[in-house]
Amino acid sequence: MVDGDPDEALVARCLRGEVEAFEPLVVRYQRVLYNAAYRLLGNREDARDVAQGALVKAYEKLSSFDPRYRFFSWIYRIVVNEALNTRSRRRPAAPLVAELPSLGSVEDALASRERKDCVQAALLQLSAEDRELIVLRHFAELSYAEIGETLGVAEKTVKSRLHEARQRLGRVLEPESLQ
Amino acid sequence: MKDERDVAQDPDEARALRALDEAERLTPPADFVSGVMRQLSPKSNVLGDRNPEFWSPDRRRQSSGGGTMSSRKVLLGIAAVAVLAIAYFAVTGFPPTGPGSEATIGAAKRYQSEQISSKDVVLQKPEVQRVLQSDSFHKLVSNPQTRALLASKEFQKAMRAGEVQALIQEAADSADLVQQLDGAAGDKAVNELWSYLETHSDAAAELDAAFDNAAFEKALDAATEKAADASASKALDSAIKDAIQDAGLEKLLLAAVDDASFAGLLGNEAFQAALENPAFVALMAEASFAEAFSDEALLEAISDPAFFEAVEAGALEAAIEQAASGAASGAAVEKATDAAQGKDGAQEK
Repeated sequence: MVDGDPDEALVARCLRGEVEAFEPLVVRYQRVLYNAAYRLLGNREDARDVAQGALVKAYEKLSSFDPRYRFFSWIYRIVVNEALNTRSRRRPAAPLVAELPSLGSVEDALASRERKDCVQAALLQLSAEDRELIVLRHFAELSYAEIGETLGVAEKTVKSRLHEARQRLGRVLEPESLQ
Repeated sequence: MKDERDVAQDPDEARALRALDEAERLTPPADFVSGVMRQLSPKSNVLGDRNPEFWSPDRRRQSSGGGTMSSRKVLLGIAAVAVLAIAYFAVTGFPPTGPGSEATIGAAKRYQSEQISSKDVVLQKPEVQRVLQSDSFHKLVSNPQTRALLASKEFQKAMRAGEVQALIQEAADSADLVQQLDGAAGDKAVNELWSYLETHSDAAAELDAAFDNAAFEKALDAATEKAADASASKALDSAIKDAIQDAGLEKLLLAAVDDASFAGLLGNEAFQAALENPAFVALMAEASFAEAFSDEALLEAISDPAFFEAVEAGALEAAIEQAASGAASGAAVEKATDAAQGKDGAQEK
């Protein structure tokens, strides 16, 4: 059963030339990668382009994947890099939060009681490092250990940085508590 | 899969956790999967130069000595060969050029005479200006062999790989790696080992098999991680003696691993990661690439993110081709620079 095959088995089949073996991997991770890209970029179109582009790049570079590590960790890094490149290319000309009301975006979102937009607007006010940690934990739903592996830092460091990142997010969201 | 609970330690964090729990999870567009699959070519050689067996799940689950068998020993095997290749070319120099090379060299001389001056190219990013107008860069593109390397698909491919960029940047940031490469390339024992392997094909196969030996791998791991530890060194000597049957190879290998540079290089994680890229492995056998690593200014030049960006854009290749035809123009380099500046502007806050 292809869909139930472990990642490494599917990767091995791809490397033997079976391009169709990549499809279950795309199906498996499309949601989390798309959501992660969206939370990093704040724009659905960009998120789709970045997540799809990263998957294509991952396929093309599959021979450089180290099977000692999780496939998701590897492909997530590609998504993050692509997202950062996209953001960097766009920064001089276009605002990052193209889909969202420009600030006072938080206040506007709160006023319209659209909490989901409020969270996104708040996330986009955090540093890239904070946002990445929160995305990995709360949208990719990785464990501390998996985040540590993905980012190349110790699990203990993940915990402390995540705590600080959430504190900062909470402070950005503070007007909500005043309502 | 989450294996811990997120517990708020203060009101701010509690507020964030509540909001995150309620945040919307998007569903990807319906054509997301088909959009990806349409872009994949079934003819793509995604395997590169790898042995398919390395990627099999069975191999990944294999265990040796109570531990999970990793790709490390495979990397170490490749590393040994790559380092020895560098050593060989570093000592013997470039392979002799064949008939017809005079024309190429002539073109290079013309290029040198038409070297781009700072006034020819309007550069907005000082770092890129320094890179593309440095003596090191001109030296690089003036050498037909090196220019051929830069223009090669292997080089372009390797420079696009994150792990290779990471290695180059690490080499630029830290003298250790460069010293290890230089040290290994200049070590007499390493060179003697290379010469022996070159003339004894059975010995090369035996060395490869030794890297597949669990005890040998374990001893090598310990030795590279504890270079100054006498007991680790002794254990490695013992493992070599057990794994290698060829007396000549055994003697030479014992001498080579005694070189701290060679041992350190084998244990360098960035080096191992870069060696996962077949294009990089191919590059390692190029003397000009090895030279780039030992030239501080040049290493600095190619470790510039703008350089990678220029490679990615294909503009550097265009500049190199122009140089090869003896008609390097400011426009070609300017194109490379412009490509880099696309990133430059973005990097500036």
